[in-house]
Amino acid sequence: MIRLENVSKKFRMPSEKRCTLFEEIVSFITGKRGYVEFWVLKNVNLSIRKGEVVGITGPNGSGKSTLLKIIAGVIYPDEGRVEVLGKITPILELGIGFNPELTALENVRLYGALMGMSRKDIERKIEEIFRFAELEKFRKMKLKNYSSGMYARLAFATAIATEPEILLIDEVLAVGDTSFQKKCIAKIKELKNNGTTMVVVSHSIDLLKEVCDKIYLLRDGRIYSESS
Amino acid sequence: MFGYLRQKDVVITLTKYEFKLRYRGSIFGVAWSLLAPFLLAVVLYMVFRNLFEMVENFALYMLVGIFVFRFFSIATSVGMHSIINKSYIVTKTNLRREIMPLTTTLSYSISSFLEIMILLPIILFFGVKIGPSILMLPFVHISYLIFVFGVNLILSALMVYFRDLNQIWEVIVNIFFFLSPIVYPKSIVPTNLLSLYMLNPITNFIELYRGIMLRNEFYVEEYLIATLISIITLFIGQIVFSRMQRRFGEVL
Repeated sequence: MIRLENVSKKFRMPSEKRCTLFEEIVSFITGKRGYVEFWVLKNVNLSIRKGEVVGITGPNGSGKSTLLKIIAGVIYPDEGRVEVLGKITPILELGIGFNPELTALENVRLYGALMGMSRKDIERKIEEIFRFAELEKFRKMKLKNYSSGMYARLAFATAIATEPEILLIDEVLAVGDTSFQKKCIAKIKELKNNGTTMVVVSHSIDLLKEVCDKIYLLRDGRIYSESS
Repeated sequence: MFGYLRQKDVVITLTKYEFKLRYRGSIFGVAWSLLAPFLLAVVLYMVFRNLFEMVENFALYMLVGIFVFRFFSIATSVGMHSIINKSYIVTKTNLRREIMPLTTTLSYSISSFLEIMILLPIILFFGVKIGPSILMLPFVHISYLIFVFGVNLILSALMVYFRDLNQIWEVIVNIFFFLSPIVYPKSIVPTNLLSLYMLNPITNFIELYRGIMLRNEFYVEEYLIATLISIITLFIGQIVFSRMQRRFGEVL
């Protein structure tokens, strides 16, 4: 279950990038503020029941990713309350922490650990991950020799294997070629049928209509409901 | 507060790969990393040997000091970058952020422990007997590790906001090198300044390692003081880190 009450988030847009102690001292003495503030999210209310699949869409810069990051706990809101019950697995980007110098197998272990899987679960799921990614033959290959498609498939397969209670997906729903994309969407539907709560951010309305129970539109930091 | 310490699996996995990537599986990698401290020891020995003839086995005395200090200097100067270098983990996953400085500290503590082990045959070669107190070495190392982790929590969090901190820290580490009894015996410190001098926690650690490795003595009281300082450092580090980490997701 996820509940957001009057969540607002203010971002500081630096008019001059200040990131050293020296610059900090200089501006403290001169009394200049090196940033402009603006609200990315304003009074967002959202309530998602367990097992519900919610899609969020909206133009670039409307605050979709920020909203997802607030639910994930990566960013804290300036106002309002966020309440989350259940273990969250955010897939904000595919293949975080993938290291080109390690083999595919080692990368699965590393990425799986970052996504919150126990070592036992990872070992149990390795077969399944490589089968889903259709990369059984390339297990021992170093990741730097992978093509970008193979890379994305491996990352998606690992991320999706985490057996999440709540899954947050940012624009990474469909990767690879058409047949693999179909597989990804089928997998999402399977997770949905198993009762996984999901929040999916995407520009593709068609895709959201296919998997979501409800779709919201985010514009200028405000949320609008849309019937699905 | 320290709930992340229970996430053993991710800590072990990240530490393992960090360690592995550092040495790239080559034995020469380890050899190269040892060359610098040995050369430093030789140079410093040449400079200081006539000054402190009263110290028994001055070469070994210095070597132990350099190797013990090395853990602090390397683990902090690398550890302070642990958050900014792994910003992709901080901004894209909900992993507890303390885990990044923790794994860096752990992987360097393993390196450091192995390096100190390499000194043992050298010590034996010079005719110093190693006794049962050597069994306390891991406990001293764990206490030292807690101290370094506490420092890394503070540094890695500050580094996010002040990117020139590494330049300042380099100078501070150099000052600490000469504020610790590495190239001179503690006995030359004036007695009226000694209590001030002992505030440097690294001094205690260096003396503890030396006691164990060169004199077969374990100083219980010093160990307890050192451990207490380590735990206090860890708590301060955790408080500082917890406060500063809230905005990591936006700043990075």
